Amino acid sequence: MPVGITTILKFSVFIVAIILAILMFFKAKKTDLKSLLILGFIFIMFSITTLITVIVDFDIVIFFTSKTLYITSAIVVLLLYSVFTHYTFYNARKSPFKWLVLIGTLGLIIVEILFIIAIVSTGSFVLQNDPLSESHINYTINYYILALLTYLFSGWRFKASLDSYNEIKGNIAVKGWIKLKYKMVMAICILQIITSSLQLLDYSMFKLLILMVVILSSFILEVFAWGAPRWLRKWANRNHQIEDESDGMTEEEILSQLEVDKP
Amino acid sequence: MNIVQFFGHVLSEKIGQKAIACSGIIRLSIKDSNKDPETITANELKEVFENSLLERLQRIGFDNANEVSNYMTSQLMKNHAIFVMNA
Repeated sequence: MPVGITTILKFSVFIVAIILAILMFFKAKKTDLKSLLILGFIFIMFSITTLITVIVDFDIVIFFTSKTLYITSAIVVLLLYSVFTHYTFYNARKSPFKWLVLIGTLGLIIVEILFIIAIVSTGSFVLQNDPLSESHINYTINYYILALLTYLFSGWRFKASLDSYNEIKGNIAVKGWIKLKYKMVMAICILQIITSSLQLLDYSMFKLLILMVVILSSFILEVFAWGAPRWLRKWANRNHQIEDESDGMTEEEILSQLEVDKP
Repeated sequence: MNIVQFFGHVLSEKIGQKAIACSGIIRLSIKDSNKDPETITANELKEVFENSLLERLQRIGFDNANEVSNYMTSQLMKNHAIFVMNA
């Protein structure tokens, strides 16, 4: 496959993901938030996964190996997302995090075992054309494992962010930009579930086109959510007029606003 | 987003006082701990709720200052995501 528009797009995604990762590492250091550090690693994995998909595009000899590499990195991203969800939405509170990590790790081990079985039994790294061949069956099972894990992990992240959004949406201090960011995080989860479902469908140009649009939309939302330009934040906050009036007040002025019986 | 105003609103709903007064008390408590209200981290605010806010509430004369302090800490843990979203 010649260097085409998809390769240029993927290379752009790779660069942007690296920039976002660096931005997250800086923000994590400044704010002391583990979630942002993990987001940085997620963006590093995004860039690695994107590079792998470029290899898949060019690779016709060891197609099965690079596809397995892609599924492996996608599961690692899901595992990192579960750490992010735990630290962001369940900080020091009970969550199904440990069970999900266990399930994800088991899924990852099964993917690698199926890959090894297929290459040992066929004696080849090449994906067999026969749909009933061992490598083809194992390759299909691996995609189903990735889809099931995506439903589980992204579904959990969607629920956690929705619950958190419902907690904060009534607070007058929450600006439009923060609410929009929550919605973007939820939309990303839905797009990831759609991506995994599409990957299970048979090959067609239409599927590839839709898949590319969905993956790109998901990535653009990630960029806007975590590296938002100032104009977007300003636009999202356009209806927020309530400022903190206590800023600039003296201690006496603040205490005079209280309606309690002084001791 | 203003974190002080966010938790001021939470405190206001808990103790039934004006939001402006509650934001002010949190702001003063943060300053008592020699922190900057604009750049305070989640861990620092937790310390403020457990110590200087509790002391302030006791000084003002709230009977249930301990309960309010614990409530604010639990709300901080529950709404931790707001710090991530605000970063």
